[in-house]
Amino acid sequence: MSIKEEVQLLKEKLIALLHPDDREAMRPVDLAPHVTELALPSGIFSNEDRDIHGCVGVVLSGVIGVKHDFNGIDSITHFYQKGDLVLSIEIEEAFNKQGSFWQLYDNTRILILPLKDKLWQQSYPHLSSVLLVQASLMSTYMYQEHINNLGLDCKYYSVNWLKENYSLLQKVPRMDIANYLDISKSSLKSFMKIALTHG
Amino acid sequence: MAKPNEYIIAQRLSQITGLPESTRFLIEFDAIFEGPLHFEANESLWKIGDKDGYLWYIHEGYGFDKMLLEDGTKMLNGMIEPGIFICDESSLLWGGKSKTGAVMNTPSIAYRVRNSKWREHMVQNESLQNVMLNINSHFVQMRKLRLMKMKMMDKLEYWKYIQDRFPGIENYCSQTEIARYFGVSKSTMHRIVKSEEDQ
Repeated sequence: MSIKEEVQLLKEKLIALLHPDDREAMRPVDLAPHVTELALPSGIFSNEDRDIHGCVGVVLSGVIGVKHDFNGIDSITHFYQKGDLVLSIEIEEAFNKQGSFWQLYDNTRILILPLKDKLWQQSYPHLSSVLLVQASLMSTYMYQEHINNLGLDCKYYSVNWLKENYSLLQKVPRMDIANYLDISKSSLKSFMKIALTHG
Repeated sequence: MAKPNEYIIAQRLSQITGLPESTRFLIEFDAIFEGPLHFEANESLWKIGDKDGYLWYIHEGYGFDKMLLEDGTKMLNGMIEPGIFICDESSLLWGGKSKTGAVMNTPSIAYRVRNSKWREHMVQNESLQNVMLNINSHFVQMRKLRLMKMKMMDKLEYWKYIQDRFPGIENYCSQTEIARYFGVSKSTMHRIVKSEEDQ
């Protein structure tokens, strides 16, 4: 993908994030001067190394697992892959009692827009304001979606997810996939077989 | 002029944020709400499929909100109790029909503001926006915790915790809806309830 296409990808994600009433205002915006590319090595991403406070972005390459600490045990709630919208709020230190962090399973590139950047805010005051509100609402809504997924029939959800995300199995350890789906490793093996047969 | 203690919503936001009740932007926010609106037991605040979305503030009364999952089943989403703001989040984000429904199970008093009016007010008022961003960040943490509990907490212990928090929950929600809330099958939920009764 060219840089132009990558910026366009982020723009499309932001348009989808906006309320329909605000989408038209985003279309003529030149995002290029306001975005930054993060190139991150595999491992644990630390907010201390790169400050991404108040950012919204799109994954250009790589796989990210979002891990949290629950009574000393890691739990994975979701993954991000190429083309997924990411919101920095979930790993920001000020509101992170669950010790959430990004596990990068591969070298990862993310294109980010710092929503609180002064130049961005001055250039597009209305858009910067509505994007801040939408990103904030989206961060809570996104977690509700993960909660809903856990409410679905476990086998139904797991098999469908595996069918749609089979390529992730090449990069993410089985243990982490099982943790995400909230199933045992033997159930994962059996569900993978079903997904592969019917996928 | 009304005394500050009549500003129900400003008061609540003052409790949440530590700002004085007389803070101008809290009073202005309070003024955009309609109410008080009175509800009898078992009346709906809103229904799945409603076109007009509102943000609600619950002053008195208890109820539950439920959502329709993609497999067509309903899931208990959460408890409605005094002091909370509640809405159909998808409608607030992007408009369109409500994907959730909420019923008050006891006589209740609520205030409401149309989603469009809320958005307009929020985008134009930077101070209030910052308050909302902080409250939402806290809310993300609560959702993370709920997700962690669903995945990691001993289910029987979690059931007891929920019963303590929402006494009589089984009178207002079906076992299937509760099972979805815990992320377990109906038969597992039945076993959990039975083992709790046997203890």
